[in-house]
Amino acid sequence: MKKSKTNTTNRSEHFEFSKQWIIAKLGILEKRLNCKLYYLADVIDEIVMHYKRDIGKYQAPNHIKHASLITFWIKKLKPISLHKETDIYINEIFALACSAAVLGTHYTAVGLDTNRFVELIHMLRYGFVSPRTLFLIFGLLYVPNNELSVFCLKIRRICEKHSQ
Amino acid sequence: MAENIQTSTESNRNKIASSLTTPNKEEYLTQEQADQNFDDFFDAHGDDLRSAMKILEGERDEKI
Repeated sequence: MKKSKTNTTNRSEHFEFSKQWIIAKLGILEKRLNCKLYYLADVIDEIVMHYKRDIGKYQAPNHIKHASLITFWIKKLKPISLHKETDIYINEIFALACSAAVLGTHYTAVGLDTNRFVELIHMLRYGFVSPRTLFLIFGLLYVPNNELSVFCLKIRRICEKHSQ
Repeated sequence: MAENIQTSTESNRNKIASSLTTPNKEEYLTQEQADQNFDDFFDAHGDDLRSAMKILEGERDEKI
């Protein structure tokens, strides 16, 4: 029983996700937007709690699973309260940026452009999105850095096939 | 030979099992790396995000 508890702790040690982790990102977002953001500390606690509960259910979560769960709970619980009417999508953008924070070191985003962001933000705000859906989406949008050369080779082959 | 293959398979299985439970040190993401990635996201995709917001807000205004 004790052994399985240790394994669960090890499995989720890809990084330390905590209230402080989210607050640090909110600080960066504030600097980026050059304005004060209002967030609900209790909601951040809830996000961390739900994330830790859900990540424990996976046998071997990779970074994409971590990112999917973080994005899901941020978009669902919306920790940032609006400070202007135009920032209606601020929680969705914050959720996507947090997923990039988790994935940025070991993965490269391929195919993230304006249209993709429109679809993603719209889907996160108005659609029925599960962590599994996000897992699939991030799996398609992000390529592991150690597989980039294979990915480029595949793209080159597709391009050659279409140019013939 | 068959025995060797079996031993090798078992050893691979053990390696996979341990890699599933204990992430590599290289895979560990520090708070500083995560903060940097978060910041880099806006550098890399800031323009796309701004354009996306304009499109979304335009669509919303039309509906209202």
